[in-house]
Amino acid sequence: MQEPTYLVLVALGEKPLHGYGIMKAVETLSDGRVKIGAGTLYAALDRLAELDQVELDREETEGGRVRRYYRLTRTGRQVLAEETAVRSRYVARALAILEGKG
Amino acid sequence: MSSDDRRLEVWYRVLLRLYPREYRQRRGEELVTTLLDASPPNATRPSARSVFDLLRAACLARLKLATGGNVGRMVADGARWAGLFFCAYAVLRNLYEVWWLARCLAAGFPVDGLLTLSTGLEPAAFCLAFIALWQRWRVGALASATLLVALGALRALSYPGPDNWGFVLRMALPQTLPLFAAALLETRSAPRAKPERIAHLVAVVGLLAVVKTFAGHDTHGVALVAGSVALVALGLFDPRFLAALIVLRSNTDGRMLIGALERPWDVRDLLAAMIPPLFFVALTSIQCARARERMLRT
Repeated sequence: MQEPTYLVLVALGEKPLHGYGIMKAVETLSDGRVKIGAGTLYAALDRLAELDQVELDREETEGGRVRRYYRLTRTGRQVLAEETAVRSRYVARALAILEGKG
Repeated sequence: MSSDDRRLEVWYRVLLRLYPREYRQRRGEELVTTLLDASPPNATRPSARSVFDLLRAACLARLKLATGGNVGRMVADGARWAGLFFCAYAVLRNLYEVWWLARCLAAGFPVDGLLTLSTGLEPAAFCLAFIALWQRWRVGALASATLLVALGALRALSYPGPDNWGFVLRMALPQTLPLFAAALLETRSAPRAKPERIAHLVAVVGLLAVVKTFAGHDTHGVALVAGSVALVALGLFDPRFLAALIVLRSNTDGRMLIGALERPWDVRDLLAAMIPPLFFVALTSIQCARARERMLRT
């Protein structure tokens, strides 16, 4: 799983968010290192929806502007947990190597 | 909404035209809202970064819609069928050469030992490659392809004249490349029903036999053109026939391209070499349009 996709799942893990909300959350989560554009974001959301990992939560119209909120599905939460576990193992091993224990 | 916002929105709506219409209808308003939310205050035109991002995403959306969402499978499927088709054809061609050599020997003509050995082994190697591709044994197909290159080299050594290795490059490699490509890609394609495989293969090989029988060695022959047109017509219904067409022509077009480079004033060679790629582009476009229609219907 690519880093932006992982961060999108993490962002949606907390609460349902709309497009711009996800973009801001990803930027915050990565300390400003990952900035995803709207085109990339919606392509990722489409892909995650096809994989049944993300679904529409609600739709709001404000001042003629449409905002759709997305949330994680049960599958999405499970995938996020598995991916996080894998990444945690990598981090633990890398830290062990850096500290001279590997 | 300020005039700056309106101007920016117009810019974004123009950029959204890059996306397929169906995508715009589904996502357009939402995308514009997000793009405007993410734009810096008082911006009057999109940043280069967001233009590039939209361009990239729009291209991917179009590609996904055109290929039914699986570009890799379409390419891999075509390559595998091209490889199978090529092997079947090569077996027939080499058997013909074996028969021709046998006639030479029977008539008492001196025939080179290396040439006889190479020509005799090639049909068996192509059969192995065919079986390996059919059964999706990637390693087996690659091994067969390597064996064929070695046999091609052996055959080149048996030809008189100083340009033996030039012969290998011109003949053996172009003829083996489709097999290599198919072997590498075939494992990515999804399995299909066996009756469908057999029906397509019989149709393709049958057409090839007809075309080759009538065309002979005349690369500009009417029969070859007629056969190509028949494959093009079938290609409208199934992209694998397009792959078949390319392989059919690949046997002659390598030589024609070299001929065109050696004799640039002779336009016929260049035109003949350009026909298959042009057919491929045109017919792939038609196939893509059909896949898109199917996808929209579902």
